Amino acid sequence: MKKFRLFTLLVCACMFITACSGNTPNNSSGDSSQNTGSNSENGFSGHLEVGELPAEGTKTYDLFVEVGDQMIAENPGLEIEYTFANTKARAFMEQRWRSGNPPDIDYFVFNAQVPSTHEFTEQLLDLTPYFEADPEWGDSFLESTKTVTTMDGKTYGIVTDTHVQALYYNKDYFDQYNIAPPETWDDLLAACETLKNAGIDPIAVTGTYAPYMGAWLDYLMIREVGYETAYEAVRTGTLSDVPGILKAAEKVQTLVDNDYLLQGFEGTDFTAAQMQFFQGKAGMILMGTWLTSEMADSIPEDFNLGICHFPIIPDSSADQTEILSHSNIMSINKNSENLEAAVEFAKRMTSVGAQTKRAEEVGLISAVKGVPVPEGTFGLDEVINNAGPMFVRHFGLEFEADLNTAYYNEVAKLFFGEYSASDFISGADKAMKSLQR
Amino acid sequence: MNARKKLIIPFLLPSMALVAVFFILPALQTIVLSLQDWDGTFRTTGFKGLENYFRLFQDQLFLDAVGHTFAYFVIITLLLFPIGLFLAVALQRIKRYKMFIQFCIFMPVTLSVVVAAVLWKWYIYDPNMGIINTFLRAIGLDSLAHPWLGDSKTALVAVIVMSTWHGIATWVIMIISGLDRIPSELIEAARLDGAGELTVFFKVTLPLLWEVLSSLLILSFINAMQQFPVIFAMTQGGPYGSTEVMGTYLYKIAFEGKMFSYGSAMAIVMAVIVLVVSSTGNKFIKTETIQY
Repeated sequence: MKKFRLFTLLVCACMFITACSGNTPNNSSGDSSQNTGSNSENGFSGHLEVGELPAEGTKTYDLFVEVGDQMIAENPGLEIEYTFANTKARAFMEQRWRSGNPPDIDYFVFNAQVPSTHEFTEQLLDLTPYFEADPEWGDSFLESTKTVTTMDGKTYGIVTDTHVQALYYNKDYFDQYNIAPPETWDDLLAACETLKNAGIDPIAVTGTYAPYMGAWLDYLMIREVGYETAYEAVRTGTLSDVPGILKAAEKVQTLVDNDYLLQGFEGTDFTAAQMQFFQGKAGMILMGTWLTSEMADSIPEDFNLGICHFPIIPDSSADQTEILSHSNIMSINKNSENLEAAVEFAKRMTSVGAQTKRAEEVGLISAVKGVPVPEGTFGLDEVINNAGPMFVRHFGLEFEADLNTAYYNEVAKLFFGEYSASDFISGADKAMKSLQR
Repeated sequence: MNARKKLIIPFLLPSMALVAVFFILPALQTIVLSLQDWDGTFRTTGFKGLENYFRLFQDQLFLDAVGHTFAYFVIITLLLFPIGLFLAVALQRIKRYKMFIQFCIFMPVTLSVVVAAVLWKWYIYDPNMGIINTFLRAIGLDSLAHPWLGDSKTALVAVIVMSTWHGIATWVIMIISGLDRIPSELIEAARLDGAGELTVFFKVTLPLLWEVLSSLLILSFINAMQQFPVIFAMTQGGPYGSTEVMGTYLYKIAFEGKMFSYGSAMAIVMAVIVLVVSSTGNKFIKTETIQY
């Protein structure tokens, strides 16, 4: 009897172990290590975990999943799991990368201009050989995006959608007062004066979120001395070593001294500042191209929106085509068990077809050549098609809280009239030097 | 150990286990973390000793945040103390519209503090759309219109005014419960002895309320030390750090900057400040309790 009991127990244990170790296509454990994806003659199979940015239930999410569904339809053995990888989930996703259990595809784990993301490069797939093997794919991206996806000759990501920071203007006001979209800094000052004389606040800006306000200074600095010089000077607290930066700060001071900024901007939240612009209180706003989708419900139907590049400074020797941007960069885990399927997903995600659909249906701006620019904003196609090298906004400081707070606190003092241009230079240098690691 | 004491142990064990798991263990972990350089995962990058603590005292933003936290405590207490006392005494005495006035006082606290903060930021303090500036402009006082949350001189006070509006109900409830406990004979005896209303209030009511008020004072201090949601929703610590308090700075460092060990050191310093100040304050305040 004892032997029979032992035998029964062993059989049960074996059955249990067998049941638990089964790896069916429906297994959605989320642990990619259990899946051995393949690219056999039957196509892709196994499990693919894709980190994605839009929230479930949105049109953008549906379009994202549509790419995966198409792959599954063609490869019945393939199973795709979507993991939300944006906002509050970022910290969790980053911990997964650090602890060696990342998804097959993720966002925000690489940006060539954000040093804090470089710790992940050892785990990321260099796409250079894939681009060489499929030059059509490799050459499909706008040249300007390479500054954020490529480092030390290696490409660690692809831009699936991008936003550039540019100058939006109220086209009706500009037409009414005969103002041309400002091409140079002097044009901008003239436009400000005309609007001010007409009783319209020239520039809508928020004072409660300093990095958005600071975008004016960031742009002026890169127009005066170029992005890389400005980036280095800001991050190392050596602004005083670069004379052009003082000129940029003086230009901001001109805006402040001449009351060209929205009345009460100091206490105006950024959404409120945007609303003021769309309600006709101000004539211009420097903002990322997410503005129209973000404010879609608040833009009056008869509002005519125009956009142009940030004005140039003609007598500067710096590259005047440089543009500040925020790009969503998709990267692939090089240790993925389903590497080929991950690359295929990335390829399909950035195909002209998928990108065109995203541009047309949800207004996303693509970094892929040949994709139409979303309609509705006068001049947007010109801004995107004539964009020079793209550089990460806020000098990448938004990912380093202490530096970000210290630097933009000083910038705010300049805008609020607490600092003169030269005070700002010494204040920012002191603040940033104190935080050098 | 006698049998009676032995009997207590099994009853205490579950709660002691809970305290150990959810309070003592995390606190010990925080102390250990503050001595390391943790990158937010399951690995650390070595023992750093007191480096994070030394760095704290050289961090001007942190020192400013400590100053703002104490300023927040002082100002909010100076507002809550007299207003709470006045409203509690008034509510005890008034007969007409009592329900309506009670509703007005207690309604704010039923709102989520973040919702209340956003409402004030948008509809009361906004320089262009807010009620205050709109009203000032409407009566011809344009020059007094002001970016309340955008001026380093007014931002902290503006935030505190909102917190006072939101938190006053708690003070009123506590003070009313204290007033209800005072035997009416003592008040009547004082009146029979010829004391006026003010004398009764200052010589009888207030001393007998002191125990409640001193507890509220300590609670107000702890609340100020932990302040985070109102400031984060209204100013995020700006303009240029003028409303940055320890709670908001700690959040930025630990969760936005992912400097968990430095944030842990900050949390330990905050806990020490709360413990030292509240226990010292308690000794000074609760010098003598009047029994009645």
